[in-house]
Amino acid sequence: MGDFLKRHVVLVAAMTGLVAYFSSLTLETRQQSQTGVVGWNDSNSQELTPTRFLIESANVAGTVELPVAEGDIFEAPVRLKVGEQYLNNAARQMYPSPAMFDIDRDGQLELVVGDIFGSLNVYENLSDEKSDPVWSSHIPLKLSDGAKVKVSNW
Amino acid sequence: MSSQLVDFNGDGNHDVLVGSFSGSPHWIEGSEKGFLPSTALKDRDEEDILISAFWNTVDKKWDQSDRSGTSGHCTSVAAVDWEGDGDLDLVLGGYYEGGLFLRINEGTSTEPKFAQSNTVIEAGGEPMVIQGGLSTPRVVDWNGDGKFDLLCGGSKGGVFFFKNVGDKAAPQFASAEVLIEPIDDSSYIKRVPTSGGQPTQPGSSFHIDAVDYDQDGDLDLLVGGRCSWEKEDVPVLTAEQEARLAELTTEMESMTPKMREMLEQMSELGEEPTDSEDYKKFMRAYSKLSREASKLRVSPFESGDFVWLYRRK
Repeated sequence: MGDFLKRHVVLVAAMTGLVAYFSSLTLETRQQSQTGVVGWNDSNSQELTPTRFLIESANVAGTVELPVAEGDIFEAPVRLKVGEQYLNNAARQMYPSPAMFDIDRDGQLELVVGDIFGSLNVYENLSDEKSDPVWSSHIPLKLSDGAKVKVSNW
Repeated sequence: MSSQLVDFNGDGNHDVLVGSFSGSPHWIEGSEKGFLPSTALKDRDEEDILISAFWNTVDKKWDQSDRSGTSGHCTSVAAVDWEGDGDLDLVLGGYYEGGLFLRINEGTSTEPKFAQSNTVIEAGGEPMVIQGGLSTPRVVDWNGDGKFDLLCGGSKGGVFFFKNVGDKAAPQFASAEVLIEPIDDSSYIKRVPTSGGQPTQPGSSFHIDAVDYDQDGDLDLLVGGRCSWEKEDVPVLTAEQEARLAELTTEMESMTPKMREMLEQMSELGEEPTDSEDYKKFMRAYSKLSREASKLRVSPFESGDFVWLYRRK
């Protein structure tokens, strides 16, 4: 068992000469039965290094039960909020696509959320603290003439 | 569709690059006075950049073009200096097939001239594909080795990390590593576990960004997603309400043949439904019934679109 790429992994040698690789990725315990390493460095050589193996699906006999955890690298996901409301409750953008960048060049990152219909909303960070942003209500991204940005769609 | 701040024409004004369901990535040019209306990015021949599928604005229908040498429907885009030559190239993300493609900038950082065709991006020696479709790429140095990597969300949920194992002028990518596992649910809008009647995960159709959200020195993930979840305390209909719902359903079903007949007649005559007063009157009556039925049809499930934070430990 090792810690490759900051995750728990198990390498299991099999009679076939292959080495199976099992990686912990989700919060739930799950059965992993069909994941295997079939070679590394394109040569099946014994030079196994954490960053240079090739993984592909294979029918590996037997199963391994793992306490796998998304939390290996992430905490449990949380929804962003504006005040007490979930962010997007007001804007109601379908298929939201978030990105953070300094769109107004004020030296602070804004949250810019697009959607399937081509609208873009901006959330300003109301906090100066070096921690989680505190988001404002959404403000539609505007063109120089004051009209809302609308990305051409279908 | 995910946006990215860039300076495409090197004029010092920030532009916004954004994907579009139309099939062509767009940019919103920044000027001294502010942003200008969005336009489709063009290749060196002034043709819209695409994978193959696009919304034909002239014929007002979905169309295909083989001019890019690839197949798919581009809905996502990310800009990066792929070959380290100082200008911005494009990574195109496909919708149905989930493929990822490269469109090289053959011009300069101030005068971009994009190639006429795409190149398939590979990972682990195979075409880079997000199974289930909707590849939503972001370019970021995820592992801090000084080279850009690709992160990608997908339709079925999940976030995938493609590590750049090449060099600055010739990036190469290892096979995908799963950063967030998709939920094992075949629904288009994935049903997610709940806690206190609220969803606990983003579900499906992941659009992502990697950012140091809490400014603690590591990269966190933002995930936009659509999910459904089981509600708590779903109200039960009274016998009277159930009877009314059955009545409304029967009535609406009886109207369907007439609706089809009217549509066929208009089609034969080359008329638009919006031009027919009879049809509009018919549909108003249908909508009234439908609205009443909707209020009575209490689904045990709810759906919603949210932005989630996956904070790095």
